[in-house]
Amino acid sequence: MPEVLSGNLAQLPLLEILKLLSSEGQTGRLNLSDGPNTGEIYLGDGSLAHAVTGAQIGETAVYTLMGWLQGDFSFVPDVAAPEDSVTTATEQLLLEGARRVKEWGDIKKVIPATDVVFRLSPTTSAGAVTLEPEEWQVLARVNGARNVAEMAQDMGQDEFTVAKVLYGLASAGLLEVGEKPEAPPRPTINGGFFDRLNSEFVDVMGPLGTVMIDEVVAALDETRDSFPREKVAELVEQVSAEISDEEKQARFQEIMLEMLRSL
Amino acid sequence: MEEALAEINAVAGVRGSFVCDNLGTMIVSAVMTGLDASFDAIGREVTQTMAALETTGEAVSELDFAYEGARLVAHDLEKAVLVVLCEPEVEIAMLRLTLSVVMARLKGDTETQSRLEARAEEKEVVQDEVDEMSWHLLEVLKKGR
Repeated sequence: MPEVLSGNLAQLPLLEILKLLSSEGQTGRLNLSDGPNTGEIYLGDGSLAHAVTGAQIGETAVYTLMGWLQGDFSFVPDVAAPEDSVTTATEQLLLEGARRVKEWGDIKKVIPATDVVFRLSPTTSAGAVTLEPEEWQVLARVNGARNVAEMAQDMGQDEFTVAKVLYGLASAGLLEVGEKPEAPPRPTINGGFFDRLNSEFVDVMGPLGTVMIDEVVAALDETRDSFPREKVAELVEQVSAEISDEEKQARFQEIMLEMLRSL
Repeated sequence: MEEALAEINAVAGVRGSFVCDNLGTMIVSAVMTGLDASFDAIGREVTQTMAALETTGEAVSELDFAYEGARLVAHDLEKAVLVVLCEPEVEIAMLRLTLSVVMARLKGDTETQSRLEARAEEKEVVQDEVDEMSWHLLEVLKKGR
């Protein structure tokens, strides 16, 4: 089945793709993917007929997908929608989409991505606080660990709606952006590596070799005690650049490369 | 030479590598995917770039092209050019180190050198391979040297 249109949402936003397909009266399925997340929008004679992403379906799914700023898309023509979950007129849906995309611009200053986590603000202005039901529903799910996408999923709402409420609550001082769960520690190399590096390098450069290694380690903004695995090749490359004799340099690099491969 | 390419391809993020003559025609390749059909075109682009830089007095022994979806590293082997096609997130320091070791080995290998010698061509910008404006600019730059 041929794909007539494919690309990246960062270059061609979904709203523009839908406008194009709709104006051409296309029928088919638009596949969208952003890492592990996927979505599908079906068009029939240029009208949006069905949309699905995760547990969301219909208009909710369309609005969530419009919030994706990155990811890949491909349009497969002549595929019929398995069901009619979108009942809003396409023109109205695209207008609402355009409005939301514009609003997203402001919201993203506070919520740049849907993996942002919120927590209750410990300080707020004195006086009574009145909440709308949808605000309470969102606030009740804020726990300092659940992110925007997870809250939307939990509530069966699109991410834009939830982000908009969170944006309002944060602007009112009731919420603040929390810290994301800490990233796992970087894998580091053990002392055995530096013993071997020292030994090989000192063999070539003499006793000052140790000092030269320390200088390169410092220049990489690291320490020997917790040197990250991902920078080891760079360290070896820079250290070996100090060897002016081509043959010795090649021999040293060969030994170190062998060692790097076995790390 | 095939072993050397296999060694390069073993670096995380490398999708394939090949050696072409100085006019871009492939001599030997090792690919992980069906990319080989594009190799001659890539080889011509790379060698023409190297030849153009040499013409303008800016000769380089190494080129590194970073695209959104790929990275291309090329090394001048004098009688030929080594080209490596990579993912954008290739472990570049590991690749450079591997290339350094592999190229030193190739330089000292008489069999490789005689194989490359048999295909040795002078680097040269071919008019048919570049657009009219680039050709004109190169002519102007050559005259200005």
